[in-house]
Amino acid sequence: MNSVLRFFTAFTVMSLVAASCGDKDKKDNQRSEPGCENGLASGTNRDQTLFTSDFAPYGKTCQQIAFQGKAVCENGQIGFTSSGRPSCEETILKKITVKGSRSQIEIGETLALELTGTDQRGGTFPIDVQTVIWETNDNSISVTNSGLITGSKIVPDAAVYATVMVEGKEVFGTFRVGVTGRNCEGTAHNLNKEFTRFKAAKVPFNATCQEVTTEALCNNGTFEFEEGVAETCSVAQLSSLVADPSSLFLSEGETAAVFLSLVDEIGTRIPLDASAAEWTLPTDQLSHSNGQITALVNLTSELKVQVKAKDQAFSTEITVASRADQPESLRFEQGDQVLKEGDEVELKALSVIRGQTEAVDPKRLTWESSAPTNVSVSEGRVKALKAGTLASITAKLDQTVISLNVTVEEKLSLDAKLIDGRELTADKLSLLPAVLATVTGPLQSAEPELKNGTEGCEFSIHKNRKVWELDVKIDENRGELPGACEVEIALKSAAGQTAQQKVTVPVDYRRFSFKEIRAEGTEGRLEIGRFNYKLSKNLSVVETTVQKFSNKEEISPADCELSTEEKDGTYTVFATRAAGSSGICSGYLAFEFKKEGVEENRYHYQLLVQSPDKTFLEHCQSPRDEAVRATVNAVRKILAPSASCEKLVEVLDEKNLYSAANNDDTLSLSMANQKLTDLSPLSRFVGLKELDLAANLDLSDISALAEVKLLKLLNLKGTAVSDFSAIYKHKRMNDLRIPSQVRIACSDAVVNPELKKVCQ
Amino acid sequence: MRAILSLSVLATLTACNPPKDSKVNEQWNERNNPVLMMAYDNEFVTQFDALPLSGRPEKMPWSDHYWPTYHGGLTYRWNSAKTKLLDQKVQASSDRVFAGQLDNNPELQKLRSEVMGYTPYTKEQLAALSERERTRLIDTLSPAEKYDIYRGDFKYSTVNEERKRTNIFSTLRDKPEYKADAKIPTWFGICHSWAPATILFNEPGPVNLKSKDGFQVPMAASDVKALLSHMLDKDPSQARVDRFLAERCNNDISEATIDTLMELFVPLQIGNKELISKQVNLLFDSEKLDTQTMLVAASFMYAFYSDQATAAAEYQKLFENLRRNTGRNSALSLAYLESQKNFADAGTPVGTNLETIRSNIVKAVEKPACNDTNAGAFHLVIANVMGIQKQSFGIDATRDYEVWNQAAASYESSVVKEFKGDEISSDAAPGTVRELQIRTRFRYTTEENPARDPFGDDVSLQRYHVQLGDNYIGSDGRRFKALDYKIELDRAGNIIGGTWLSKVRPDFLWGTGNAFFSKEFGEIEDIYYQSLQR
Repeated sequence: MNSVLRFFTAFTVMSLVAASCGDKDKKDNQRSEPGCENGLASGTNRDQTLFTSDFAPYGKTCQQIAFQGKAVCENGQIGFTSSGRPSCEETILKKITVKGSRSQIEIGETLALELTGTDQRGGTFPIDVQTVIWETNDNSISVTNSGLITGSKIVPDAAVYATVMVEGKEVFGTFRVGVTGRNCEGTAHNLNKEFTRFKAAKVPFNATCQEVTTEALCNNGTFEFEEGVAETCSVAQLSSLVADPSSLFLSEGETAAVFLSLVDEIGTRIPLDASAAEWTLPTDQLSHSNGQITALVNLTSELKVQVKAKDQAFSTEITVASRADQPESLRFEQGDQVLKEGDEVELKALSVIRGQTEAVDPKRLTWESSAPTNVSVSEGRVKALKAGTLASITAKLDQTVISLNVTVEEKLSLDAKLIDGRELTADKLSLLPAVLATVTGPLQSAEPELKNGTEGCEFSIHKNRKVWELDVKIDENRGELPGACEVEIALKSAAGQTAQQKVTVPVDYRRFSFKEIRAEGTEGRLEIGRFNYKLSKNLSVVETTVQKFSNKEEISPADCELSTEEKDGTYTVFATRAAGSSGICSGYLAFEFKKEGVEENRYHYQLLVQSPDKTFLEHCQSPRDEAVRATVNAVRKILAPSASCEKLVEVLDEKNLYSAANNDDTLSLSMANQKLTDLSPLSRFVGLKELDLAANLDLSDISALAEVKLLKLLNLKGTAVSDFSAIYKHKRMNDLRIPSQVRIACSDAVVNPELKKVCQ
Repeated sequence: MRAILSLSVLATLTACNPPKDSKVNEQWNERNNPVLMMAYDNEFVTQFDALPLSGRPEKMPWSDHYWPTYHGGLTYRWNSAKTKLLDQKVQASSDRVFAGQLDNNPELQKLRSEVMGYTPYTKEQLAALSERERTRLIDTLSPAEKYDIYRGDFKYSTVNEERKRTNIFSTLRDKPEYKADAKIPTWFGICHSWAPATILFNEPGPVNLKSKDGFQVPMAASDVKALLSHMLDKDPSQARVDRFLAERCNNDISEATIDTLMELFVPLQIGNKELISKQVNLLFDSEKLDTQTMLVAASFMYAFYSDQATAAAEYQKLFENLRRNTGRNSALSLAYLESQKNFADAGTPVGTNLETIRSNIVKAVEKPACNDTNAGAFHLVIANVMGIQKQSFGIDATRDYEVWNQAAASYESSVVKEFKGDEISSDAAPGTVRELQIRTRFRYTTEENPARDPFGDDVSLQRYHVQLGDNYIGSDGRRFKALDYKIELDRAGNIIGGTWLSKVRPDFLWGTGNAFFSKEFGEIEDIYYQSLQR
């Protein structure tokens, strides 16, 4: 729509609206006197500031939607060019509503929040999510600058806040959300699902697979089944034939029994009747009958008996030798074994024959495991099958049996976690502990090794109540402080299992120091302080600004400029005062930081005061007399009873700063009835707004309050004060209580509204 | 502009959240962080060995009356003969629990009305008396009357305000405001204001004032104290600093309450919806549990539904109704979510087993807020605030729903036993390498009946500074009360947590700082300072 058309449209609408609202007489009058109420003659126009809307949209001022248009008078009615409006009201945000499509999200899931604002008229409008401060009350949920929330831990209920500052006050909206674990293919976290499974993945050759119904719990995206339950099952196949014993020593005419078994792939032995096998042997020296072997002659060499299972492809061999060749003793070369799952080891049996030690051919021995599904053995080769189990391995030569134990270590695992909220800071240079490490498996008492620790961090690990505690320290005297303390915790078991985990302990080190300097003189460029800071490597200063308090002319006068100069990391602060100026000049230094390269919404502020008076620190550290000491102690008692002078100054600076900067913050000191006489330590308290000095009977001098110009409440009842000139100019005072019987003379010098009320 | 804006955001955050860099903020929950009791972060000495084992405030808290609501607060003529007679009659009353309010004895009720429902004297009535008679009469009046007479306020605005606040006429049978079901618990009063007053102000003495009309107004020490408490009750903002530690327990954790609750379960029958609904309503009529706990207790009643699905649906309706009344409340939502399991076996003998239900209800009633101030935080506060800073602080000396605010007066601690290695409690804070069993003889300030003179001297311990704790017998055979607890120490000897052993323990602690008399109470300020000139 072009501007001309817009003009006519608006004009017509306005005329119609005016006619329908006015009464008949008025309309007649308008006809007879067609001029407009604002003195504009009918048919004439004049320049006028107009606005594109009656209401400035949220985020814009009326000035931003203003334009130069014309007011036109026609038939007693005023119209405006280009749909302009003669007045405009700004939109003030009164309420924020935060909405999300769901009130519950899963771990790792992201949800975009939307904002709607409500203005003073109840109208609603969208708010750009980028323009608000986003926060959460729970670390389990993170929120980005654009209102995207992501859950990292399970939490039933957390709040996300969106805050906008409106005229120095917060307007905020809340969104409540819960975080659950991930679902398992449609089954919600923490719910069970029924499955048909098998008791074991493999059953012995002579058994059948049996189905079972079992419930599995969905835990953060994964179903957890009972131990041992398997998804599939098969019957173990036969794998070999064994003879027990597989080696015999016989004298002439002597008979020995041999038992046969078929062995399946999981080590189960299934007895086999001797008649179910074919026996092949040198019949001139040996005879066989139903598993019994007899030496027919005096044997002079080793003989072999071949045994083959009928209808099966398996066979075995039995060695038969003369009784005279029987070893005197038999033992394993190795001792008990500790293995990890999957390990294999070759066992060696040694025999002593006629005083000579010899290795025994493993094939001549009958090997057996007491728990073949845990540890298997075949011709001396041992295999660790199942973690956290043990088995006894036996080897048999004729009737001599030897054994050893094989332990299969539990699976080694290490779970090291940073304790929630632990962080190394300037106030907390050591964490005792920072990390808890739980070790499961075979190594519960061995000390983990710490490797590749960050330089500048000192680590130590101790076992305390079944858990390993990792302590971390940083040394703030080092030139450069790390941005995080990282270290690897490593373990190695007897069987060679290893576990390793890297842990990171966050560091957020910020140390600030400020030396306030009493200004020498009241004019020109005056040095008022020096500021230093030290930060850990992950932090940096983005911006440093020096500002005066806005709208506080009394403590931040126009004839004063605050500035800094930086050299070698030291900021020297100056106040530049015009010639002939007097009084205090205050403001603050603001530092904005970056952490890990990202700008933080976090600042450090330092109060700055230019005054020729002694600093509070000077009063505190070397009080001139008992009167000053009493005033310092009265302040200390209220603000920080056990603080050192330096700490007390820090607390005071912060309170003065907030109170001076924010109308809602108030530094209040109630120092009534404390026998105070000297107020000089208070002379630089630019933020002090309430001061009760009642019943300090001998207090007569309040000149130290001359520059404490934000004072609103001053109670001097029951004091000996009679000269109030120091507070004549305190124009913000709204509650002044003076001793009874005191008269104050009125004069032009008195600006203090409370003094004006009582002066005569 | 940008920096100022951020400054105010920062200030708000600092005020709402415990500081991140605190040395002691991890081992206890947020509400139990002892830093909340301190003026600035890290003001605490946390090393056990560096903390004094005994201490008391430089200015001892004084005792006074708690100006009970059932007496009409400050309108109570404590120094009159009729009041003393009423006290005797109440001692003999059939209703000792509500101090005679429910007693139908007409003589007692008449006396109650005379003592608490009196018509104050007019200026003319007082002026008609000789000075001696008048002064003697004023001496027997209530603190509220004396204050109004002193100010020349013969409309008696303080008396009227107090009567309105306490609603005392609702218990006086000859008053139009009387309500047959009205009864004021005897423990209601202004101890919440007396306790800060006793910490903030020196003990006043008696003072003879001259009223605006020239009448002598003899103010007893207790009258001045009453006015100080009244002032803080009316305008608590006059105490500019207020720090608070631990959560307030709003449950009555007595056996009797559990018994009463369990009686509600007895008539329940599986599947009888009407009965379940009736008993749930009766449960919510009880005033001895907070809403979350009642919701949890009710969940066990839903186990009497015939199946879990019906129970869940009905329980959700109850929750939604509650939420409509209470608004969004995460604690309530959490209680709702966590109590779903309580009717998982609905309709079965397992789910409706009263013994199991009782033990679960006891657990719900004694929730963390009723476990009171963390014992480690408590030790840090007494040793730092009283031991090092030599200041008092306020405590609620009972761990249940009754709130008795008292000022701390002294402590003496001793180490009873040390635990190391496997002897350390399994739930001790991470990093605990030593646990100490501590026995602390902790004294707090109790109430006294009003009196003309001060009870103490601002300096020494008095008989009204009494011990808090369980009963013990010392090696000398003497009985004493003490608080027993374990504190948890880390490798550097810092206190990082603790557990209570004694049954008696404080519910919550609060600190006060900086008192200001607002303009409205300028006359009380004058009276107070005059009362100190003794």
